[in-house]
Amino acid sequence: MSDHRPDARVEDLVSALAAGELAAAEAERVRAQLARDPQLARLYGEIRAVRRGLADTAATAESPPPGLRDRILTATLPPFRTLYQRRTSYWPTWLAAAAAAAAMLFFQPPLVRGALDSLPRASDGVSNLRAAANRQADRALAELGVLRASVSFALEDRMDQLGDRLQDLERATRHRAELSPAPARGPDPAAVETPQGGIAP
Amino acid sequence: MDSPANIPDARLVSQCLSGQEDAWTGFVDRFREPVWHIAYRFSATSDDADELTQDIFMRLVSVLPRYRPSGALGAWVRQVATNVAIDAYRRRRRTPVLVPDEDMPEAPVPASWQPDRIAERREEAARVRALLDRLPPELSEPLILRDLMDCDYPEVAERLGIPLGTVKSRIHRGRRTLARARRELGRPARATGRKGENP
Repeated sequence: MSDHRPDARVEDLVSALAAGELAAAEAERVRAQLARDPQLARLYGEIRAVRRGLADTAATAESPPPGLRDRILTATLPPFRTLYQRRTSYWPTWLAAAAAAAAMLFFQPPLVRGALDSLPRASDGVSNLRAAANRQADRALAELGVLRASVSFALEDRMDQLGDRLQDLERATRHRAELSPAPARGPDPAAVETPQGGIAP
Repeated sequence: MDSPANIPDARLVSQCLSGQEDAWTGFVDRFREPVWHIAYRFSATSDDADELTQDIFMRLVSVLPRYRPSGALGAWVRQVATNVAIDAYRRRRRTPVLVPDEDMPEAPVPASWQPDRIAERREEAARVRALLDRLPPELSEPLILRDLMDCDYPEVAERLGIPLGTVKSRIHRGRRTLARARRELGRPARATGRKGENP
């Protein structure tokens, strides 16, 4: 038997059939084709086996490992507090953001050193080093995202404060105007009040 | 009083945004498992999935204000998680890591697996997973989303930002390539002879 290679379009249909993605009528047509072509039938079986392998990959991990919850909370609660508990913070938000940036700069080198120390000395250490650096980069990006959001919140805070201050000033101005003694108003024979409330000369 | 476990999505997010730590803890509890499953599908090892899950929640903390209550929170979380996972997967593929066997703990198996075939299925799953990681990312990414995460084709297209037709052809090509790679590795194509798998 010649080892012919079916065309890609037919193979796509076989792949779709193996994944159960075809409508009944089309599936029937492809099945008929498989019955005539052992090469296609073989590919069909192999694709099904691959899909079962992929499904098993997913199925062997039914639940997260113990301790993950604590690790997530340990990693996320500090930025959560920085971002969303800012209004009750003793420090102004911008100062907290600056402190967070400084802390990040201060603590990153030891973290990187820690990652480096934990690497094996084997020649494949370069790959692991890159992966560790990538992980650090991911963390740094995530922290930068937090920082950016902090700065954004700080600006919002500042705008709120300015708005409040403006309203205070307006209130104070109105209040002063109400409290200031009105000029003595004796009857002015030269002025006659008009029906519109204006004073006509 | 409502506990964070059963309050509606929008209120949970609103409480998080107002700084309530128990709401954030409830958020983590509600989405830890689905997020970890997404991370696991894009990771080489369970430890990688663990790290990636933490990174995903770090991202969720910072983008939480972008959630709009008009959409389902679960879908939004999965979208963020998948985007972070795809980015991490691309970086990992650029810098392959050699993982010693002892760093790969055996995961629990589903109860439905027949005991005498557990080892074989584990071995086969590991083989397919390893082959998947050898595919070029433009083939493996849509395949992970479709065959490991059960996303439909339009969803895969949206997540990866590529046209629907391209997604379909890449997925089919990925499956064919995996099938042939598995054959070339010397795995007997027993599947073709198994009952119920022939057309």
